[in-house]
Amino acid sequence: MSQSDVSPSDFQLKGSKLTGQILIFAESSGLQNVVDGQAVGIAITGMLIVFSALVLITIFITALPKILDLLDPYLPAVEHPHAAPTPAESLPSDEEKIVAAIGFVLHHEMQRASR
Amino acid sequence: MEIWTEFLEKLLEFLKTTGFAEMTIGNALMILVGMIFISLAIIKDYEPLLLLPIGFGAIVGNIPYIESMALGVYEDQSVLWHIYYGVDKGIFPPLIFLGIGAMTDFSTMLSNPKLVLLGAAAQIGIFLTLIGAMAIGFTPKEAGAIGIIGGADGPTAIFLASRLADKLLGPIAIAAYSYMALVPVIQPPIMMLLTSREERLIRMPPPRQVSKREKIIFPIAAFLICSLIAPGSLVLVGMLFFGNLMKESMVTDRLANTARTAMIDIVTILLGFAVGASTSASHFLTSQSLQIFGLGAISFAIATAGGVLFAKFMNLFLKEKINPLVGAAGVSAVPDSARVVQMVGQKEDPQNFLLMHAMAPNVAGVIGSAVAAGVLWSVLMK
Repeated sequence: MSQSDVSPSDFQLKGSKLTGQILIFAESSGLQNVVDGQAVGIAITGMLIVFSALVLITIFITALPKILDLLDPYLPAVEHPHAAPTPAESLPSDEEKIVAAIGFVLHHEMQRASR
Repeated sequence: MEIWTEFLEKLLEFLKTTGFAEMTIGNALMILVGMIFISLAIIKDYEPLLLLPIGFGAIVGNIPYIESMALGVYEDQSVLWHIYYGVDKGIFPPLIFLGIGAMTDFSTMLSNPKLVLLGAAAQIGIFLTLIGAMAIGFTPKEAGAIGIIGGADGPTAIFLASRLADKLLGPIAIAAYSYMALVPVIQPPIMMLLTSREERLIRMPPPRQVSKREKIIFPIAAFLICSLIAPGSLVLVGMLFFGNLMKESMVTDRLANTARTAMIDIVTILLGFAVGASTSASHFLTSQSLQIFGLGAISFAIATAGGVLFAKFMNLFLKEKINPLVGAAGVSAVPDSARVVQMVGQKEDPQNFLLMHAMAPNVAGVIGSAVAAGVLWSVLMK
């Protein structure tokens, strides 16, 4: 059969067969499920929302030091009592350090003598 | 003689009720899986705080028993059912987030805000896996719950699975935690494949000092932004930032300390054990579980690749280049993926310290996956 022998209806027939085959493939491969469930739409929307949230956080973090600088004259940073370093009394005094050193030497010498 | 016969009958009756008599190949296989988890935790030190309770839970959950005894997780009013309640109703994950918030330092993120975007980019694994899961026949709700494995965040995965597809909770939780434990195995090949040596050698300037006021204001502002955009993330994000505020405010040291130590430990024990116990062979050994494991691995790989590729994309516009390896930490397995970034970076240049930089997308990834979970919950619950 030459090309000129093919009528438009033949094309339509072949086209509909092809469409049918594509649909069967789509159904069997689960693509129909993706289309029916609007998976692509959900994915794009979800990604956009996640990006929007984190972009806004980025903008806020970038602007925060500048905002705080502007507010400094009105709301100066206050050193909170809870932020103070550990009180000095918790550190060992010189006397305690000397006692500890003497104790260590004594222990060391007694161990050496017992060998 | 009659006593002897009676004794034998009773003995036979009892033997029928033992675990040995009821044991199936599936149960034996799951007990073996539990033992492998325990071995990985003890010998390889892979996520021991999770794999050990899950592994032992899996052994417990696969000991056969008579149905009328109501012993298992799925038996109404059994002891294990009560423990599992916290998983099933999504109570444990937010409590874990409270503890994570109380131990997380957001300074690295606050000092380099652009790295937050890498935490967003890595969430692409979640959404592409959702499409893949639906293509192989899962319902939209199930696909959403499976996709979240790509967030590499166990509590988030459990939370969303309990909301959207509680029947798949066991396999999803096990897959999420397994891949979190396997971060040092899964991520490096992808990172090496997608980056050149020159890119891996990029050094980043040290992060700036962040003020106390910034650290205190951040959790409140970030909570408002996230929860107003995606109210579905309210519980997870709320607990995360509440815990962080307790830590940073320094006026509730006792509460923050309890949240990041005793409380998170108790919840981790209960959650890990209950999840493990929910993996009884009859519920777990299905073709769906295998598909979930496959999709989980793909999801994790895509998430890693997404972070790395987005870092390379950002470098096209930045004067001060980002080391693209840092993008891999956008998956929220804290701090494992940040450690992997440091390890891979130091293979090329032992003097390159990327850990602090990688922590920024890592904690941003936690926020990103919680927001993604919120979005999926609100969209798919309709």
